[in-house]
Amino acid sequence: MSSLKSLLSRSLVAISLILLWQLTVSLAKIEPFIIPPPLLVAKALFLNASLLLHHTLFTLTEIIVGLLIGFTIGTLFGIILASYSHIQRLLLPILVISQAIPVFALAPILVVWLGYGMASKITMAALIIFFPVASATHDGLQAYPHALHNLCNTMSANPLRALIFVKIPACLPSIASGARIATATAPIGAIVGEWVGSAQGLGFIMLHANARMHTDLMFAALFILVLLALALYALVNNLLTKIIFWQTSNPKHKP
Amino acid sequence: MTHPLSVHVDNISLHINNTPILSDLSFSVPSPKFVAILGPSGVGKSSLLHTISGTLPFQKGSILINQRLSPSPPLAALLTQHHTLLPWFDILNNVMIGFRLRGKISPDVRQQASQLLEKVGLLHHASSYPHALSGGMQQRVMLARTLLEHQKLVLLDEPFSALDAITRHQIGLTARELLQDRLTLMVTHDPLEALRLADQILIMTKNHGPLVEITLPNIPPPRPHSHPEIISLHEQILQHLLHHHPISLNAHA
Repeated sequence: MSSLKSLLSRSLVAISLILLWQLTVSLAKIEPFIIPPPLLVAKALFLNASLLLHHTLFTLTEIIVGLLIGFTIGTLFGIILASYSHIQRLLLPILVISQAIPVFALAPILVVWLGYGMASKITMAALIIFFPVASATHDGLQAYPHALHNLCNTMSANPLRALIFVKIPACLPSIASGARIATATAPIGAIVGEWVGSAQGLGFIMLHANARMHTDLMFAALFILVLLALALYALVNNLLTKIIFWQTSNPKHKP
Repeated sequence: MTHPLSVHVDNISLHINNTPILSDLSFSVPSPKFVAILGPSGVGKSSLLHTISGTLPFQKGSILINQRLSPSPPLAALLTQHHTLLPWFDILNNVMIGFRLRGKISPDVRQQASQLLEKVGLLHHASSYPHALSGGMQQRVMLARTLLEHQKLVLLDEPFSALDAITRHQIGLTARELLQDRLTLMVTHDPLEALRLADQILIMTKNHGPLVEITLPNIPPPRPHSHPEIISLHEQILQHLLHHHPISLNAHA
């Protein structure tokens, strides 16, 4: 009942915003190539459906693969950093310094190294999410309750089993917040990668549409991208809430 | 290998970051029984249990458990005040967690865990999760988990102090009954709890040294609070504690 209500109120907000957009454009007589009215965007969406679909799938693949790679490496890195203090002393400063390099500045080099295909964009997405995931995992493991540590000790726990059955589950909420940030930022990496150099993808469409003043197509691509990012976030958030079922006071990160 | 069950703590001292926590503390419990270590907050009772359990390394002295030098491998099961149940395991698996962590789960362990849950009255909650249980129930699960460890020495660190009076009373009795064949060291700041449950009471004050033993009347536990001898003993214990820990009321003077 309440979910139906919230769906209704959300749709109402969305419809009002679109109406406001249409009204502003018509009343202020803004040229369509500056801000296209929603109807024109819808038309562009409809007319270029198959083209957009092709490029959407391309971008989506980049995002998902980049997300999986960045998340896996980030989590493992966080676990290793927190588990071995000498590795932490060695690598943590390097990791922090590496974050001073704007990841976007690396995009052109990645294109040179990995080419115009998916590889450079996947790397870009993975790079951009690596740090937040690694740092969230690391922080979570650092804040591991001493009482649980003692529990494992008095029970003569096997270290690997203690890690799997106690430590990692205890840190899942932090890993999950890393995953949420990763999901929200991975599309940025993929799109920036496409802007710098690509022959396919939504970023490529946007760049070309922009250059030819096809602002309606550009808005259509943007619309798909927003939808994609929201759907991905909702999916990941739902999955995480199911996995970490015990976190009752879970702040509902609903888009 | 069958040493008589005993604990001898001989002149142990513990410092953490140069702060003395325990100094020249000694006591000795020669046979299985329920021992209460009574003292006010901040006197180092928890630290004492953690040194005995082997989770806090001490600098001086020795601890002998069943004639063996502590701490490795741990010879004691520890039950703490704050619940350390794992919210991602159901109650049965929480009780068996020690065996899971050692990779030793068997149908036999499973059955023993179920039996213990029955004894603490929570078998019908075997597949519930900790957050669905009340504080008292969680503490009973922890008790079952501690018992399943099969350690002859059981350390209870103010196990019931976060519970309401009635629940606390009930769990105290259950714990005493289930721990009959073990040597239990229970740390508490409640003289009445100690007087009700313990076979032996040791008093811990801030100067440590050898712990003072209270001579108990010849009434088997659980002792009723209303018994005249218990009332006078309670008064004596309070006087003793107040003597060593004078409360200053002239803060505004």
